[in-house]
Amino acid sequence: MTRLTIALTAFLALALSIAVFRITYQVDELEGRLHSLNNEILDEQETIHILKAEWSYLNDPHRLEVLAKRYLGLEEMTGEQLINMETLDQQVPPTVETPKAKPVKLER
Amino acid sequence: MELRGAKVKQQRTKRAIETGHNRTLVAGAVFGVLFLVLAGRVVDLSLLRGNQEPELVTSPAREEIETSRANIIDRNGILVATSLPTDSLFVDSKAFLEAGEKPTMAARKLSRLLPELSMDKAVKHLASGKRFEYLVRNLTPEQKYQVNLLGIPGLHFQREERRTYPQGPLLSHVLGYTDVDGRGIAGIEKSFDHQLRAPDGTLQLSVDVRVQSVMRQALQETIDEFKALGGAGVVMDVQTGELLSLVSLPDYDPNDTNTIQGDAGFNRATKGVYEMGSIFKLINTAMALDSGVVKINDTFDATKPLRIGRFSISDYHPHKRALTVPEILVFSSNIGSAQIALEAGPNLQREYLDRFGLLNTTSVEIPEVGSPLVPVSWRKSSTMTISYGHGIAVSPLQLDSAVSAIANGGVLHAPTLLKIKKGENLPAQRVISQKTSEQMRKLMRLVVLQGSGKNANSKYYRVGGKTGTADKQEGGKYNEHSRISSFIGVFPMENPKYAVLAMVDGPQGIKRTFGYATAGWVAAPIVKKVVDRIGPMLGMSPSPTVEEAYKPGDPLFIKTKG
Repeated sequence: MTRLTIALTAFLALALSIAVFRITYQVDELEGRLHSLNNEILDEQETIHILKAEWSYLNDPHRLEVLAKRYLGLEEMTGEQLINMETLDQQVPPTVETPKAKPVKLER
Repeated sequence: MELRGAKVKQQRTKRAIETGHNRTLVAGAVFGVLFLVLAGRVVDLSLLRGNQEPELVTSPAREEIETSRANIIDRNGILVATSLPTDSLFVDSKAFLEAGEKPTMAARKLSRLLPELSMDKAVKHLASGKRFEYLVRNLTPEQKYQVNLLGIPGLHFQREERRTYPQGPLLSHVLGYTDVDGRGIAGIEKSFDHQLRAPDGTLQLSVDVRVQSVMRQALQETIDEFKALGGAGVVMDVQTGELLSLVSLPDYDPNDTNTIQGDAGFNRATKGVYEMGSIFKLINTAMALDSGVVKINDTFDATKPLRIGRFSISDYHPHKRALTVPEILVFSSNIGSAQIALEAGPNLQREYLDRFGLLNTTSVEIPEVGSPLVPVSWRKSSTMTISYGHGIAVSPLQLDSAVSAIANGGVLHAPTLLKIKKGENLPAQRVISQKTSEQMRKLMRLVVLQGSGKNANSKYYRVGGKTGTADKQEGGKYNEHSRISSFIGVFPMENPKYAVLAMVDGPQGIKRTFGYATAGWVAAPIVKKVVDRIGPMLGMSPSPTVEEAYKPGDPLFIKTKG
C-alpha cells in the first residue's frame, strides 16, 4: 500500500513538472508571437497613418475637379440640379438629352 | 519476578508507541492543514480569479499611432495637417574619424545623394570630432536607403516627425506652419500649439476644403487676369460666425517654408487692413435706418459735389438730382452717404462702428490679426469720408462679419475658425434691430439687381451685396491707378446663410472690361462664381425663381434710367 502511494506520488510529480515546463515554454513562445504581432500592428498603423495623408493629398478638391472633367466628362454642379420637395410638382420633367458624359472604358 | 519484569517492559513499549502515534498525528494534522490551504489557493487562482490574471504584454489599444503633434481636420473630417515619421541623418564624427575615413571622400559621396547638403558643410560636420551633428533633416525613404548603401561608418539615423500638409498651399494662411522641430510658428499651428502637442488633441476646423478650393481658384483666376498684386476671400456662415473659407493670395506651400517669399506670408484677409470703400455705405445706411435719424424715403441733394475744407466729395456716376436713401446705396453715391452721416453725427457713427466691431481688433483663432486704422481726431470730414469707406481701414474678415450681422437679423457673431458643435451656445451681440436688418436685406438685393453689383447676380441663388472700389493711399495721396476692388455678397437673400467677400488688391483694367478695374467688374464676378459653386456643394436648394419687382410709389422702387 505504502509503496503504491509513493510510486503514484512520484509519477504524479514527474508528470506535473513536465506539464508545467511545457506550458511555460508554450507561454514564452506565445508571448514572443504576441510581441511581434503587436509590432506588426504598430507598423501597419503607421502605414495607415501615412496612407491617410496620401489619401487626403490625392483627394485635393482641385485635382479631383480636373480629373473628373478630363476623364469622366463631368461638369460643375449648378443650382438647377437641386429641387425642393415643395416645388417638385412645379418642375417640368427634363427633356431627354444625350448626356455629356460618355461611357469611359476602364483600363485594367 | 520474571513475569513482572516482562509486564513493566511491555507497558513501557506501549507508552512509547502511544507517544509516537500522537506525535505523528499532530505532525500529520499540521501538514494536512497546510495542504488544505495550498489546495484552497490553487482552486482560488484557477477557478475563481482566473480571469483577473495580470496582463503580461500590453497590446496597442489605440487606432492611431502616437505622434508628437496631433492632426488637424476640416469640418468634414478631411485631414489637412498631420505628422509623418521621417529619418534625419546625423554623424558621430568621433566614430567616423576613428574608423579612419576621409571626410572629403565621404562628403563628396553624400552631397551627390543629398542635394541640400553642400560639400563644405558636410566636410565641416564630418571632421568636427563631435559625437552628434545633424547632416540633413527629414530624408525620404529612398535617400535613407541610398545612404545606407554607402556604408560610411559613424552615420546614423534619428527617427523624427515631419509636419505635412496634404493639400499644400490650399490652407496655408489658416494653418500656418511649424519649424523643423515641430513647434507652431504661424496660424492655427501657433495659436493651438499647446493643444496639438497634447495626446489626442485633434483639432477640427470650421473650414471646408471644397469651399476653400473654389474660393482660392476663383480669386487666383481673377488676380491673374487683372494682373493684380494679391487678394483675399472670406466665406462666413452668417448664423454662427464659422469661417468656411479664408483665403489670402499670394500664398505659399507650408510643406516647404522656402516658398514664403515676398508678401506670400502676409495674410491679407486678417492681418491686412484696407480702406474698403463703398461697402461701408451698408454700415452707414444700417446705422441711419436703425437709429431712426433717416427714414427710408428721405431724399438728399446729390446735384453737385460737396465741399469740405480743401476736399470735395463727388460721385463716380453722378446723377445730379435728389436721391432717396435706397438710391444713394444702389447708385453708390458718396455725396448722399456723406449727408446721411452728417445727419447722424460723429458720435452715433462711432457708436455703431464700435457695435459692428470695426474699431477694435477682431478676435479670431490665428495670431495674424491686424488692428483697424481709425482717425485720431474724429472731425466732421472724417465722419463724411468714413460713410463711404475712406479714412478708416479694416480687415476684410472684420468687414465680412459686420455685414453678416447686417444681413442675419442684426446679431454679431465673432468669426471663428473652429467648428461649432450642434447645440453649442454662441456668444452673440445684437447690433441692429430685426426690422432694420430686413430692410437692409432688401436694399442689398437691389444693389445686385439694379446697381453696381449686377455681375454678382447668380442665376440660382438670390445674392445681395455691395461693391467697394477704393483708391489706395501712397505717401499720403490717393493713387487712381492702384486700387482695392472688393465685393461682399450674402446669399440666399430670402434667408441668409453665407456671406462671401472677395477683395482684389491692385487690379489693372483690361480690354474685356473696357479698361475698368472697379469692383463691379473685378470682385463681383468672383462672388457669383463662388456662390454658384458652393451653393449646390453645401446642399442648398435654389431660390424661388419668381421675384416680385417693386412698383412705383414703393420707397424701394428705383428708376435706373434718367
